[in-house]
Amino acid sequence: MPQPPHLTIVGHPQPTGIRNKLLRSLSADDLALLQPHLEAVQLERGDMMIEPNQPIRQVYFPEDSIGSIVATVADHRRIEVGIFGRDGMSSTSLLLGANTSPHETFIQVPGPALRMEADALRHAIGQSPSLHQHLLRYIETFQVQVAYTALSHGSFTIEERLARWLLMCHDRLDGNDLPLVHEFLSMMLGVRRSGVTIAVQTLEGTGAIKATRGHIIIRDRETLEEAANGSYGVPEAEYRRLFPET
Amino acid sequence: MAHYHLNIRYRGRFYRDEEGEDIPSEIEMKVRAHETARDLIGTPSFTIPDWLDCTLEVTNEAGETVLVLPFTEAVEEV
Repeated sequence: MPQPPHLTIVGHPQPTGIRNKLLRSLSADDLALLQPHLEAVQLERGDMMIEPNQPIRQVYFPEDSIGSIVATVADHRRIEVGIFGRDGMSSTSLLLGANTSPHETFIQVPGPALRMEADALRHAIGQSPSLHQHLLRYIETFQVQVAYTALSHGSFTIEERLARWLLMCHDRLDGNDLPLVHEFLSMMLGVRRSGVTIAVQTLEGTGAIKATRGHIIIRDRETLEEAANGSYGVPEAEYRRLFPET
Repeated sequence: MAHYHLNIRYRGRFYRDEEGEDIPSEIEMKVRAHETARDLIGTPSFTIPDWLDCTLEVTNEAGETVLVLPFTEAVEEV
């Protein structure tokens, strides 16, 4: 896969400066296995991390950016099945032994990430059972998230689904200003853009958010959690249980 | 390619599509409008408990209304 032309390799991170929680929660020995291979990069919206059915050559650990995993079919219908930010990494397929995925994974919210060669991660996993277990626990949390995304799509209103999705993004970024456009939200939620417009304006009416062109600002997280009406929270609790903050 | 806004009117309230989208032709705009209405009818919404009370109002870049599509008409075509 060609490297995006604008991609900037910022340098190699020091362990103390890493913000990705999946890396931060590794033991010192396991982090030392990965650290020499990590490089800091700046990613832009739309940057492709994994193309469908193409070899997975690199893995990414977002620091203050969000990646989307999107399922597609031949007539160009697409829907997001999961997101990851500083809580996780791409790709769970690679961790499970596959070298390709039918899904596409791209950057939804631009920002910094750490990147390493997929072969280097495979080698490190082979050297360390504890690293392997750690990453398998992440897959478990990701699968819980995907299950609740399916539940959300099937059982909740567009307003509840939007509230959940915004909370998930807010969890994974610094600050309250989420750079999101309605066109992307439409794909993420599997709803026509006009439906997203209505949901955004309804949530604005509660005071939970403020929408400007290309941005959504979280103004009252508690109200947003109420608006999610139970669609948010279970995957997040599972993540905290398996990766407690130290 | 022209830029259109697919706005929704529901029981006197107007939901303006601020961003809009580029659509290659007027015919495709009408197709998009009908698809949008039919898809939204199947989308559970707290704000719009009955989509059949909605009208899709498409405006162009100049703000002129170029299509008014009651959702009831879109569903009749299915």
